[in-house]
Amino acid sequence: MMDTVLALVPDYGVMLVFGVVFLACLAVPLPASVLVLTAGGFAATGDLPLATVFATALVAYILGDQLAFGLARRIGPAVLVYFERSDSTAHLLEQSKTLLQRRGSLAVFISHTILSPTCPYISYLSGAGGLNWRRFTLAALPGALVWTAVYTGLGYTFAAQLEQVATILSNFSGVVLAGAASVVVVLLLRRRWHAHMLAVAQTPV
Amino acid sequence: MRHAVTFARRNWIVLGLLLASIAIAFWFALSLVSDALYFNDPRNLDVDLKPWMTPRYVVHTYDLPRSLVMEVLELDPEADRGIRLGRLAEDRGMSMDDLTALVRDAADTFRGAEQ
Repeated sequence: MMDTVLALVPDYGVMLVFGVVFLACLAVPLPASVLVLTAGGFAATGDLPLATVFATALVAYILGDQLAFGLARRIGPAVLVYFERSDSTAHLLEQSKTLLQRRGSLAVFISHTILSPTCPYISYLSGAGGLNWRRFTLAALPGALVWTAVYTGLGYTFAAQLEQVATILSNFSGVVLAGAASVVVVLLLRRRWHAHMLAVAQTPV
Repeated sequence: MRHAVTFARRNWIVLGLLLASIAIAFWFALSLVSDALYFNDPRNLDVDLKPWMTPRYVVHTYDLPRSLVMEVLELDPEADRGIRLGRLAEDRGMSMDDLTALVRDAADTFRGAEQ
């Protein structure tokens, strides 16, 4: 799959970069990061213009991201009403919405940079959960800029070691995602532990 | 201690998830360190040619003169500069391994002559 997508870069150039990055922002499983990295590499060899690669990837990221947010804002509330019928999910959704309002900007920025595989889902959640568009965009735009600059820049700088850099970045994403999952599970366990100890304290001897 | 055991029994799935996520993070971290340590390993020089590469990409990765690469691959420097090596190999009825061997031989000869 990876080689097939990369083989399309010399033929379709920045149009391919635009399409793949745009669709990846909508959660279509396409290797956007490796493609932008490779396009940066092709810019270093002179096959593609660097400024065009950067601008195309950035515009595709912003447009795809805004579409994900807009779609979720339009359709999301109706979907959430369906889930809010159940008491347990309604409580969970309420908590998620509160968390989104409190830490939304930080979550959006992190998901658009270091945790980029989660980007489309956070954009959908932000739209559906009612995060203010201005707050979302003010965090999403710098995130998109950083992500695009890092991947294009790394591809350009390490054009001769593209596969090695792609592997390193993929392992780095693995560390960050698995680390983030561990933190979430620890927080969940901590909450359960407090509830458990409270229940023990309230149990008559 | 008794409370901890009861807690662990009741939450064994979540604890299992925690152990699994830590193990996965550790595995990725080990791979990351190993890849970073071997970044400049000589094995990573003159890499196998891939179907998505272009002649200019070969010039860049093998650090060879453009004219030499175009000559070895029997390409027109202007008309064929964006051609994919996969298509080139297909047109010539060669495998990517054959193409890699051709470029590596030319690189060895060129570097030998330079020294």
